[in-house]
Amino acid sequence: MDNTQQASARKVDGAAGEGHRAVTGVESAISVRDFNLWYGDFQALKRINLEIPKNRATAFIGPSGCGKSTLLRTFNRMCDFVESVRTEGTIEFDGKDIFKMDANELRVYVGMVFQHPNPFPMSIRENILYGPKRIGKLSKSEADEIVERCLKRAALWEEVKDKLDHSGLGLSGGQQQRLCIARALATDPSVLLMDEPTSALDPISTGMVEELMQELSVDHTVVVVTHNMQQAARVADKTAFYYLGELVEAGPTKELFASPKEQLTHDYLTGRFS
Amino acid sequence: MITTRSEFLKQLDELDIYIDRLTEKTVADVRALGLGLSGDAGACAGVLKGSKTERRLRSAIEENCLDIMLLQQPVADDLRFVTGTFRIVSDLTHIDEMARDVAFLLENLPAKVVKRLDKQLALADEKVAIMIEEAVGAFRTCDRERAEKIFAMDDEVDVIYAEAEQAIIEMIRNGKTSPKYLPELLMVAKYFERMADDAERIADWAVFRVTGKHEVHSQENYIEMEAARAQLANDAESGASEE
Repeated sequence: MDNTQQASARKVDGAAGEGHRAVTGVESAISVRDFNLWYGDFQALKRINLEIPKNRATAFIGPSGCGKSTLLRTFNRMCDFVESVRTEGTIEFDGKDIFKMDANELRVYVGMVFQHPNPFPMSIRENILYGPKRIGKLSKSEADEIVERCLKRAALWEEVKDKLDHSGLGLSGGQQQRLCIARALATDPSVLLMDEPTSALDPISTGMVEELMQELSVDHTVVVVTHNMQQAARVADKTAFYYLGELVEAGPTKELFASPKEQLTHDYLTGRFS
Repeated sequence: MITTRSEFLKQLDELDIYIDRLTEKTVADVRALGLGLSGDAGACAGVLKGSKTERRLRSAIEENCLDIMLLQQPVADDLRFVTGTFRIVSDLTHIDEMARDVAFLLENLPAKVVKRLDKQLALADEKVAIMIEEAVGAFRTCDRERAEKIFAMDDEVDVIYAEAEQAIIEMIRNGKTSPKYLPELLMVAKYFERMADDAERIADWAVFRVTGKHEVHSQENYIEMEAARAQLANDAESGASEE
């Protein structure tokens, strides 16, 4: 499917040609059921129930410490790295309990992009091939194909195609973040998790990453944590609002921003939050 | 370099297309009244059938404007375009509603009554159609000069209305014509005058799109027009007394 066809598909799928697409009646990529998470004695997530629609962009919003990043990081079992963590309930990815899957295998399908661009101290090409090489051996032509495809998908190819052997650390902040997105795409994940991916970027780079999020969500499930509510409104088809470890409200972005059902959501969105 | 905010830009383009469609429909309805004035009953029937399309377009435009404001946070010219569009859609649909009222009146007025003012009304009708096209065109292309020409055209329609009003008063006064239907004929003339006012309001928003300031020429012109009408009526009154 080329870009024009993808754009048409988005339009047909969306309501009356709008940017935000329907999220109800869509298959779930991730299902969260009665999920609780503790760091030692502290309960960070409380009885979360949520469906993440497949091939849509979902935004998590809420004040600092509300649990949105914790839940995001749980989706690819990064919470495993915290010693005192304990969970209850289930999270299913493509119908499988993620806690019963091999964590490394899960991370092949559920990629992550972090707040601060973190290219590995290696060449641009090696950054892209890091994940695929861990999965299996690649011929030169396969490797070249992956590098070009992922960099094109991350809208970085034109800017770096003549310096693929240069260090990824030599790129600008915005380019580094797009390199990290390209790296995350290299294992061909079906879900892309993004933890405040533009908070360290200037407005132009932010615009580029937002554009990418929307493009990628045509054939990937994108889940983004953001403190920028306008960003959530612009890019997400579904938005979930968290407060003190609880999921207060989740729904189609347009509905949540236009007429939130919960007073707490309303107060947060309108800045009347104490 | 990649394009950013392409979804937002697409929404703005769609809004522009919707406004163009509503304008085309409104202008077509107004021009059909010209045919109605010359006795084409089918043209009036066509105008009367158009309310559903108008409502659908209005609703699509308003919904798009609200979505863009809610979800895309437009600023600068984009904000002026969206807010201006939200306002001119009311003026356009108001014109279209009035076109239907005129079509209804023309369907029910005897041809010989319409004939008494058909030339003035046809002239007003064509001027109104041009004003709408030009006002929306000025808004869509951010052309202040084009918008300001509308204000002068409105004065011309005001003059036509004042003359039509005087002609009707004369008809009543000289008693040679049955006064039956003349109030309706005056209403037709008044509708064209009000349509021109709405077109002028659209031109106000076209100027706003360029300057960021909303100066209501239409209101100023209304006051001027009322003064001119009062003067014309006084002149006619004193002329009649002298006779």
